Amino acid sequence: MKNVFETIFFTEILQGLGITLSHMFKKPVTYRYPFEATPIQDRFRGIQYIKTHADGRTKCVGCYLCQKVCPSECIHIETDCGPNGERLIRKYELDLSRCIYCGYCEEVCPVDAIHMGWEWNTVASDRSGYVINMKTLSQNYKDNVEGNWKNKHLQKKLVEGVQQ
Amino acid sequence: MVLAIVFTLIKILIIVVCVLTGVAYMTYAERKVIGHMQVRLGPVHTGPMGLLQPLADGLKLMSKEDMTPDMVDKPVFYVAPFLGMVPGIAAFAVIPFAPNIVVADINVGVLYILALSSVGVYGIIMSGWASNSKYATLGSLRSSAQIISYETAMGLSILGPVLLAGSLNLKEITEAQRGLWFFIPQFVAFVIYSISAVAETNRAPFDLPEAETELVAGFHVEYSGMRFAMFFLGEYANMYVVSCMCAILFLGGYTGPLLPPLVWFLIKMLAFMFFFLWLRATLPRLRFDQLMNLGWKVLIPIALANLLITSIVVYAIRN
Amino acid sequence: MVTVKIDGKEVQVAPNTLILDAAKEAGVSIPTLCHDSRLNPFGACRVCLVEQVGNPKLQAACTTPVTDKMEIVTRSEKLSRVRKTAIELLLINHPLDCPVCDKGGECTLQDLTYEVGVTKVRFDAKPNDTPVDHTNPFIERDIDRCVLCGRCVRVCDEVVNIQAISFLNRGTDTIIGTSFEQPWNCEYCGQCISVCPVGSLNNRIYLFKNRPWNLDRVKSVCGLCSCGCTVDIDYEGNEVFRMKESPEEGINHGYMCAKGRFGFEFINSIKRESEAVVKAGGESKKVSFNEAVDVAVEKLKKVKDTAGADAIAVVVSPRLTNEEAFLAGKLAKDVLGTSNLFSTETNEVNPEATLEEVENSDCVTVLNIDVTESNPILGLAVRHAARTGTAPLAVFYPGYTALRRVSKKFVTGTPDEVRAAMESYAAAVAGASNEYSEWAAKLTNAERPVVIFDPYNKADVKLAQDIKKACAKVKVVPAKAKNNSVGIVDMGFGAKCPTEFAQGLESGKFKAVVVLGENLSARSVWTKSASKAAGLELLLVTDPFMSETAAMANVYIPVSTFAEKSGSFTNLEGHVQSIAKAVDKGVNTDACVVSAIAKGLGIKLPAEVSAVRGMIEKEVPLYSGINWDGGVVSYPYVFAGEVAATDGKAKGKGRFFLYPASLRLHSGSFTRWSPDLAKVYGEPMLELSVEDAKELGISAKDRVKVKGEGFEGEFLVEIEKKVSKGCIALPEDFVATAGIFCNGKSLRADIVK
Repeated sequence: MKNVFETIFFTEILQGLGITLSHMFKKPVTYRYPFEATPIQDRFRGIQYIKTHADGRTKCVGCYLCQKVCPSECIHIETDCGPNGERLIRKYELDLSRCIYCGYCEEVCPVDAIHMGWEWNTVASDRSGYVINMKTLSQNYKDNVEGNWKNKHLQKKLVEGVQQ
Repeated sequence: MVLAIVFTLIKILIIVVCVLTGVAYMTYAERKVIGHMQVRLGPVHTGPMGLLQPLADGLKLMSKEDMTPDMVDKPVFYVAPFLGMVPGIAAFAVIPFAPNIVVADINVGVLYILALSSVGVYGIIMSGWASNSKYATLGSLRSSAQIISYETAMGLSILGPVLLAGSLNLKEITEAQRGLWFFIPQFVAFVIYSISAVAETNRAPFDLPEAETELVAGFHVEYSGMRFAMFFLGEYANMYVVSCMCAILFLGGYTGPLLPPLVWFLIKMLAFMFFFLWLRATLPRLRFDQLMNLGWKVLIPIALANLLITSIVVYAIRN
Repeated sequence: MVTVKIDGKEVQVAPNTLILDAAKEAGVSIPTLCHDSRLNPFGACRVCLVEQVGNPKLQAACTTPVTDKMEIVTRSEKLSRVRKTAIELLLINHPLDCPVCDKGGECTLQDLTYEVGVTKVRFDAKPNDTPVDHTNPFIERDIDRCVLCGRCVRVCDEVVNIQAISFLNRGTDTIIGTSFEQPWNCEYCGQCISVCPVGSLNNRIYLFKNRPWNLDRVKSVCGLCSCGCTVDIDYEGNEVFRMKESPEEGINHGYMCAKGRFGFEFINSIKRESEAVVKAGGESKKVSFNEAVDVAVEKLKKVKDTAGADAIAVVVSPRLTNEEAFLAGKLAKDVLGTSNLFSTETNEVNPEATLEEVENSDCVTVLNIDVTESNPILGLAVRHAARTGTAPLAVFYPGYTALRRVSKKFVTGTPDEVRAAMESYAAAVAGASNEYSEWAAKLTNAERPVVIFDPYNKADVKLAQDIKKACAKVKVVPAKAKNNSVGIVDMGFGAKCPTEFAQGLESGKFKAVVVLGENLSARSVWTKSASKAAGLELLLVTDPFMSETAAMANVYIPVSTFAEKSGSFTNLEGHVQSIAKAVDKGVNTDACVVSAIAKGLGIKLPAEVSAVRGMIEKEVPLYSGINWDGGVVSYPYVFAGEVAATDGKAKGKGRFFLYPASLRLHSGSFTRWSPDLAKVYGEPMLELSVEDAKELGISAKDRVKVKGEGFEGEFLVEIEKKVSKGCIALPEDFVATAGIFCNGKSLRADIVK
């Protein structure tokens, strides 16, 4: 009986129409991206940074664990023996165009060196621009700490996040 | 005499310009309304609140390359877009926007509109056929089947108000509703008309001829630039026509208290236009068999019954 | 046989088998840390503790022999607790620096820690922080990571017999170190690295270069000396990262020498050539492989048409695989129609004893060769026989070698004295009565006597033959030099005397010479005539490097090393072993070169290993039906006829006796391109005894001139305790010294300051 009623008087369709109408008066959730920033949550996983010691040396020891754990194989490391028999990182490359921002590298790092940052702007004019090295990664750390963002208007929010 | 012709031409020009502007802004309204219904913004960048968006779209369509695929049937391919658009605009000739704003106040206004809406289907069939593409052909076939099916129901539902008014003249039908808008005595016809009108104009949820997910774009898949725009214009013009008809037949046309008649007419027409957009934002597309079932097995019998009952009642009252 | 029950599985083993081996037999695995099946039981780590039913005390599986009806439990609640505690105690002092430790990923302690499930150390961790020791050029020593399992100490003592390292101090202060904390100098064999279960001893060549999980591994055979050791080549992409032992496998039982372990770097050398060079009218031009081959083919055709096939000679290096040498022979004989096939090797001597026979011999005599340097794994076999068996080892050598520690009799002195002693010894074996009769009797009375000699010294070959004739049960080992010295002879490159080639060059008989991989200038037999090769119509040289000979060539084609091709080598015992391709450096193999030349001359020769092997099995009777991966060739004879008596006395005049020194880590041919070997021993050094140095007032690293009849040269001085007074020694296979030893193996010379 109810079913017939519903069929005759389109109750479900009217319900649907009611929903769309009520949504029409909600505040749109759109962020007008290049002009307006999307807020970044604290646990957002953006472009990685690698921490440095106070004297500027990288904290990374080149153990290859991030390279091993990376599911998209975007990290490439080359190490060698330094002049004093220390472990020396010849090359640390991270291909952002391959990275899936899963954060496994951050999880696996035994020396708390690599971290997922809050910067997400990877735009470059050619593919080589997506491959970042240790220098950039260390610079990213500085930028994350000091808040030198490419997107200036994010500055405040993010600096607060890092300082926490 | 000459003055009358010039006067008429000016009237036509004004109406065509208004219709085309309306069509253009209908696209803007559609994007805006659906956007907000989906909790988005819709166009915002072009001009204040995106108001220049239709202009930008028009410029874009005009400056686009006009491509003609090799394998098409050229003359038919070129004619089809005009056949799609012209009937939609021509129908405005008989619409009484206000007691004195009507281009041709003819006695068979309703028939004229029904006839023109039937011509519109030729544009679709021709474009589908001439395109020589399976998507276009399928789209146009669906479209013609759909239009023919629903035109019957629409025609039958229109007969209700016509019987009540006792005239085919749109102005007289409007005047007949001075006391009571026909959508109250003819509620069933009103519902049937609303559904058929949506189906007739190939709008969601009856937009099977252009189903993107199945047919890419339907009958106009091979068209680009202004030719494509003409189909677009035709579709929106048809939406205006059926909205005007709805306003005239069921909502009392330009009649209404306080406000000037033209405003009343526009309010009613635009309300129905809004209904189109609202439906599109709400309902998913029907399957083809559901569409045909609804048309032939539900709407036409109900419309016939409605017509029978109306005739009997009208006969009883008149005599 | 006794019956033992291990974890409910009954197994029959020989009496006195260790519980660990019995468990292996039963298919039960017991975790171990300090155990090495090749070394004596030690029982230091207590990880292998097992329960014996009925015995309240736990037993160490690696030291306890089984008894009949013994019942062993290897997994129980109690045992896992005990094992966990053992590991936890080790981790008190072990720094947790796995991320920077080179052993990370293949560390026994790491694996055990995961296995027993230690996640937290209950004790107060006190890792030491002693600086890492880099005094050894190849071995990094970090004593903090050491777990004192003693494997390195034991392998250095029991196998290598150098005793370079030992336990120092007592109790918690115990460390592994050198006596009196002196700089670590040893043979650099690196056996200690291979047995170290943690990252305490590391390979400095590979140090921090990569991680084990990144490396692909292929089992191959070392291509650096004639021992034919089974090795694992670890590579990533097209770079070889290390060559390491295949644990306990191969004729080398998982042991390696410094050359094999640290000398692979020439494979990755940036000095390697990648493009062929054609010289025309004094101008050299880089060309493609095909163009170079075309030039060679054209010239070969021309020489063959104008001067006849006899004006063409083919020289192969003992570095080639059997398959390549065979193809080169085919090219010479069937395609070019010449019988001029040359190599430094001759078919005068064939292998007889295997390394296993040397190990199990009950009397070993080494004649005038330092096997510990020339063939280190053969040296290990000799040491094994002399140390673990009762085999009396007699060594004749001008100067002490590493065998002195294990030898029962070591005859040294000037080369002439040693020669005289060897002759008396041979005479004593033949029955004469002299001062060596007692030692000769030991040889003749032994059941499995072995004589090792230098096959490149005619006088020594004669002596060895005399001994063999006098005592038929003696098995001889001609200590051939290069990885396939035996194989190329089997493939037909030993029939002609090498001097014939030199004569041919001198007389101008040869117009076109094809040199596959050989460096004529560094071979003492050819070095004098090598310059003549420069003016030939065609000198085609293939070599991975631009060697001295390659620089003279008018057609040079770069080729691959042993790590970049497949094929087989025949080692000094006649053991045929397959090598496997690990990397590709973008150059062709010698087989490709030969095949391409043959194609240019209109005859099709296959370059694929399997096809060539089929041909060898058909055409070389010695190799018919051979197992290409481990088969031993049975030679019809050891000595080819009576060896002519040669005067082995030192030639010329001069105050000092000059003899070819033992190779120091590398010869001057291939391994000189390995930077780390070259760092330790870069150029030929003149070895001088301490007394003579004092007398002449020469100190180490001085440059002195050596002058003799027909030769002269300036060399760095190295003062060696091992060298006898009145003797000086120079390595043989360097370009700078080849010109000296072309005059003879034993010379007299003067030192001019």
